[in-house]
Amino acid sequence: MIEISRHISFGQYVDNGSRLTRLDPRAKILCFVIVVAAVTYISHFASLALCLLFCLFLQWLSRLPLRYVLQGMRMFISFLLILFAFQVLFYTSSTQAASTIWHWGVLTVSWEGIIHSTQVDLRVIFLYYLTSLLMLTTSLVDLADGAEALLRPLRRLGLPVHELVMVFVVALKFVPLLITEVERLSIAQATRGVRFGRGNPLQRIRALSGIIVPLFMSGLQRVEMLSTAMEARCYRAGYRGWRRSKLRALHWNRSDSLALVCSALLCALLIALNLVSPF
Amino acid sequence: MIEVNNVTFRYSGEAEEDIAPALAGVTLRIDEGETIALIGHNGSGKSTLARLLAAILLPQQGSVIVDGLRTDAGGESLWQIRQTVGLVFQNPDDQLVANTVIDEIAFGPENLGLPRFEIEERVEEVLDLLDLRPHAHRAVSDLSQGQKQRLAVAGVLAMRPRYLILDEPTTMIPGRTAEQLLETVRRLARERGISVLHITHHMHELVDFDRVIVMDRGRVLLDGTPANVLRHREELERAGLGLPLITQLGQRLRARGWSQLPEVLLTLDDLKAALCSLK
Repeated sequence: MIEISRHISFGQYVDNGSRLTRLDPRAKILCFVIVVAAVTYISHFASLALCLLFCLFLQWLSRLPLRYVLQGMRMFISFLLILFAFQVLFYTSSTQAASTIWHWGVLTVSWEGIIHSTQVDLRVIFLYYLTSLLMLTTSLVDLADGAEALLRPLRRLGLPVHELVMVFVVALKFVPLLITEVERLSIAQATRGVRFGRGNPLQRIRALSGIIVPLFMSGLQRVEMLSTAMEARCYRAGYRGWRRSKLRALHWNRSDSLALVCSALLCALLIALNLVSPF
Repeated sequence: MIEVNNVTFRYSGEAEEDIAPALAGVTLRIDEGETIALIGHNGSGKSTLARLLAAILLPQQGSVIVDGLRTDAGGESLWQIRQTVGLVFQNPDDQLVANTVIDEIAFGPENLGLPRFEIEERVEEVLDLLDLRPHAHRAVSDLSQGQKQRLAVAGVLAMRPRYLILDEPTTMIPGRTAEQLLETVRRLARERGISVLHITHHMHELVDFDRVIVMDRGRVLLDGTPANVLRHREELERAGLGLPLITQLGQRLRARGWSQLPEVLLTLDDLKAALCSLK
């Protein structure tokens, strides 16, 4: 629990000048949405294997050390393994009986349950990986600019697009800060003799409350401080007639169009493979 | 010029009779180009005064006037004041919005709606001023605490304020880094005519400033040159502040018969010069 930040890379940004980093944020967001939609739809192993190949290709394009990315996913995968065990044990379907391996009371382990849970969790891992990669290769400002540009038509409906995007971006900024805060609080509690992994469930929940309550308090204080600091630098959200300018203009290049076409093709391929493949 | 006229401020929730106000009848003036150290114990009202000067808080009694504009006038003048008075917070993590150095510096100028070429010009300028050029494309999360604090100052300086308020910026950074930061700020004040109000509770930091204001329980206790302020040893001790080590050493030497030494010594160089001049 104590060295959490070493195991989570979500919300970090690495400017290594890779092709993925250089893509227009609008293209990256659109590609991300298309691929995520396809990954959410697929369920067969053949399409999941194709998805794995695509992720490896993205990993190569990003020029990020695989170890760094995997290390960032370690805690999430540990959590997912626990979830996997529950999914398998409590899986129920009308055709399950034929493939049952072990049964005790309400708990059942069946081949069908294992396969279904594996497929679901692989999809979740791919979604987490794609989201992490988007964050690792796009700065928050680019992400905000890209999302704002794509959502601009919604302004005509009276939606405060800029403010919504800023809220999202600030929330993302707080991910690594809150992780560091959890780490600090864990150390503070551990030095006072609190043991997080010991005792019955009630004792464990009580130990965790020593982190969660101060985490909320410090989170709220940080939000207040940040909003004050932003206002002190003339950030005027919701102020009529105020318009921010931008340091960087968004440029849509051929590589962005190519990325979009490739993502659409991959999406079609994943869905087609999922329809024709028996597994 | 900033004029603070008989300002009283209470935080909401404070019972008027039971708890003393954060600021009570404070009157002072800050001229252009002055470098001031604002010193006081915790809860003396230093940070509240800083926020009132930067128009983050508004006075409940009295007035704060920045270059002829009242902070409580509202409307466009509020934003003009926030542009004129730059505020740097104690913890840079509370202030930094973006996740790369360049984006962070550009955040303020972007809020001012400046054209792109001017934002670029300002970013380039402060990168050099604060020695941040080698880190220009780095992620903010990868910077050391001292580099983050320099970045926080850079972000404010990019808005070209006429008054720079530093709210205990040296609290979270090591001694040598803190000295370098203060030296940079004083150099900027000299070269650009920016007024600097440095809030601190480290007595040794006040010796290089033109003027020192000591606050105690929401009131201005002392106001004068460092040498004049340090003559009031008893008042300072009553306010929970001790003399800098060199000043203490000078006074002890005087008490032991070295009566030719000046009453107040500010720096090691002063002490060396005074000792060398003795026959």
